Amino acid sequence: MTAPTPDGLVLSGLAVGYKRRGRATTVLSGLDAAARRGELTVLLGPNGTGKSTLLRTLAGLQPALGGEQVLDGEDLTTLSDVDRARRMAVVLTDRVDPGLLTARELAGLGRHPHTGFTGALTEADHAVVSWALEAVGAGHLTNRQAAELSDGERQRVLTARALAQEPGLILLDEPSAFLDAPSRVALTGLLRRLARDRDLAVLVSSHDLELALRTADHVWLVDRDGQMHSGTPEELAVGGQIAATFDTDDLVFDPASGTFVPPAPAGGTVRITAGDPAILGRALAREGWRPVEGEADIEIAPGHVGLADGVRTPLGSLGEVSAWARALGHAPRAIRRAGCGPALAGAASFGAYFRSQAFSGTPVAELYADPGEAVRVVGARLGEVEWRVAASTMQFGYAARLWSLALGALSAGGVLPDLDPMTYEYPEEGPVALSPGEGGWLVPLGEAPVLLARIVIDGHLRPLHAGLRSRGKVAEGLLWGNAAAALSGAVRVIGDPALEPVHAALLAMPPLAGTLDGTLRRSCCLYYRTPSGGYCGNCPLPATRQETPA
Amino acid sequence: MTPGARRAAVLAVLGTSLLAAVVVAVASGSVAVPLGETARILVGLAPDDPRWTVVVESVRLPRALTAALAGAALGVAGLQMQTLFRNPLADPFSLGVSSGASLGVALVVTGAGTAAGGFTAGFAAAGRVGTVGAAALGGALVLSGILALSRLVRSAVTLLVIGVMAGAAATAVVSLMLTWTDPLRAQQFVAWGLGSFAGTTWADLGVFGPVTLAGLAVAWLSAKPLNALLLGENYARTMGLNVRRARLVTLLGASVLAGAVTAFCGPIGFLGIAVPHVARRLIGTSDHRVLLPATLLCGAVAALLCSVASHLPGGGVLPINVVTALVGAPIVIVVLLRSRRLDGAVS
Repeated sequence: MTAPTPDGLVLSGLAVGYKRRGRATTVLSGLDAAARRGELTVLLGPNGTGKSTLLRTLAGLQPALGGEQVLDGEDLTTLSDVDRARRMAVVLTDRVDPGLLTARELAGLGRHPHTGFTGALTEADHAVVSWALEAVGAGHLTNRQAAELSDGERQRVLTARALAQEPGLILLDEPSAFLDAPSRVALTGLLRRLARDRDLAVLVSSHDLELALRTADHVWLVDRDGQMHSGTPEELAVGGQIAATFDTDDLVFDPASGTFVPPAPAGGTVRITAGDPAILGRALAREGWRPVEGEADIEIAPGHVGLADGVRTPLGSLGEVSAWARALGHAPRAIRRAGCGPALAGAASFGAYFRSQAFSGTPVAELYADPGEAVRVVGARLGEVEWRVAASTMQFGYAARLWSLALGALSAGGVLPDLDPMTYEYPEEGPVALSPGEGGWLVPLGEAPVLLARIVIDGHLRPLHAGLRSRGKVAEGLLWGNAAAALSGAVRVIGDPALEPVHAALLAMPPLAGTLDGTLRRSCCLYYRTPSGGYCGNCPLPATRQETPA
Repeated sequence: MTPGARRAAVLAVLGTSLLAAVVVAVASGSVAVPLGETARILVGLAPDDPRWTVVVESVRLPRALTAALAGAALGVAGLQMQTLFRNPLADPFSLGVSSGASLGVALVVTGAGTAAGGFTAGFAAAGRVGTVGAAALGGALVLSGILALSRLVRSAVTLLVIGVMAGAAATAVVSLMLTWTDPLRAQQFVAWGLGSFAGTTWADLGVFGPVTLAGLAVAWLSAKPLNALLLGENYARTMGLNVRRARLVTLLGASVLAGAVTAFCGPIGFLGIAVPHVARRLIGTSDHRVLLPATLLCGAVAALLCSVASHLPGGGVLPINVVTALVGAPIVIVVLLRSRRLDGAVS
């Protein structure tokens, strides 16, 4: 440490403790520290480590057991009571019952070391008292009875009394112990301002660790072994002394934020893509989730949507976010979260059909609620066709697009893109354009069939089918046959052998089970009924007939 | 009205009341002396009946002066003790001064046939001088013991408890002596214990007056330390007060006041504990630079009024302690109940 400036309080080798019947009990020894003028110095430490003993010793209420305490170059131990009181003022934890004194009279007691033997205040003394009351923001309390003040107000007036002593150093022993939170913050702010504006050395002991670390210029930290560490809050935070002194099994010091947080969880990570990551991060950290960038076990997406284990959970409020995260526990997940951009980009190499772009179209939920317009557009493109032919063609194309998005990204990047916040657009020419969400599920291939069934089949195809069947007559079996054929087509184009088990598993589970016989359909896709149509690639009719379309 | 103006007005009213109370006290008694004649005598003119001069000058004036001085002394000493010990129930006798004095007087009055019998019998033979001397000596012994201890004891509360214990021990010894002595002599002691302002002569006042005034002067010097002690001894120390010295000086002053009153008037109860409370309500502050004079005036007025009230219309006289308690207690209770705040009565 650099040599302290001559200004302010300097301890060298100070030992404090008690003397009883000639026997000395040392509480702290070898104390070297400085509380400079113009700085707020906070004395921190667990209970029973001797903070109060140190302050009482510095205040002259009990003798030091050894070492030096020097204030602005003067040895404090050689000063008379009055001389010490002119240089140093003290605010103690003692409960004060001031009796019938106004706030002004109470603050005026601080002139004690400056007045004559009658204690009468001169004009100059009154001016100092007025200044002191104004300085602590208690000017409006002047004529109030001190006994009627709130705890926070009384602490201010007691501080004004200390200021009225016109000291170079003010010691405060846990001045905020009886105060509510706003008063604590206000008092700490006040002390900091007094130190700066009045060039005072202010030494305050506190239990309010986090507030102290945010506001203190300098910290004296007494650890559990009775060693004192001194430095800026950041030095002690980075140096690990704060963590070493205050960490418990349940809460640990986080040097970056200067706060105490639950210990780093066993591996559960959360990715926060919502608008208020700092706040959400704190809430989730408290539940044992470690906020990270990139891949994570779970995710909070915009609109406070919780994403975990392949399930989207809309969460209305911050409170619900916490409850949701807590209910998950904080173990790592099999299905994880990641961005889907790279996977989608990789999928584009499978062909034009696999290319996706980001745009803001119409939410697909609206398509499912009313697919009429989409069927009309597709039908118009096909020419004069029956409604159910147009519907089947539209649904086939849509299913093919869904499967290629999902399986393409899965093959290229192991990610199943978020299809739920997806929007769509039906262009005049070409297939339907889909714009999935920015995130996706990092899913192991073994888990993929179930997740795909839930998301693609249950989440999209079923509602689309319901929408279509509510508009007109189209067979369910036909639609599922389309879906299965679209799936097989996508897998075939991708040509990734790793997808084969996924493909097979999907075809083996309802509702796709039984829709295909090998590669051949059990239902007709009605393609042959389009003006330019013929037989589809999965048509079970004999190849000869396929070659001679009607 | 600013607080300062109000305080000045209260002090002025108390001062005027004191003058009026002195005149009333001098004018009242078992012999009827017209108020106008009393005033004439007081300013040095000859009254219609020369006997009245004797009544006023040798009986009533010393009695009134004694009452005023004793009241002032007890009030001020009570205030000092209450602030010093931060205890609303502290009074001038809390440290056992009156018990010591009682013990001295009991020794003299009973003249117990002990080894010290010859010595105390001598005191008894000296009559009033003996009683006063014994009371002063007894009180002084207890006082010096307590003061010696006060240099060793750190906490004022400990000192207070020691004082109360010492007092209890002295009282027990007195009770023991009274049970073994001749009932007539015990009666004499009881009469002393009831207190009286009427026994003092001009010769007594020659001692009592200066001692009391000296005690009051010491009290005036203790105003500043007592103010600092309002926040407790630790705060007082950090504001530059030498607490042990302040405690010693204050105890010495208060005990001299209490001891002098006990020696000359007997143990006058109640005024010492009640007057500071009343004065505090009247003046509305705990600032001793104002509160001490107010208590002084209040105590003097209260003692004079008690002295006047002790003279029954039929010519009989009630013991002072009976009047102070019977008249004073209800007044104090009413004052405390009617005051805006019930707490903060300590200092």
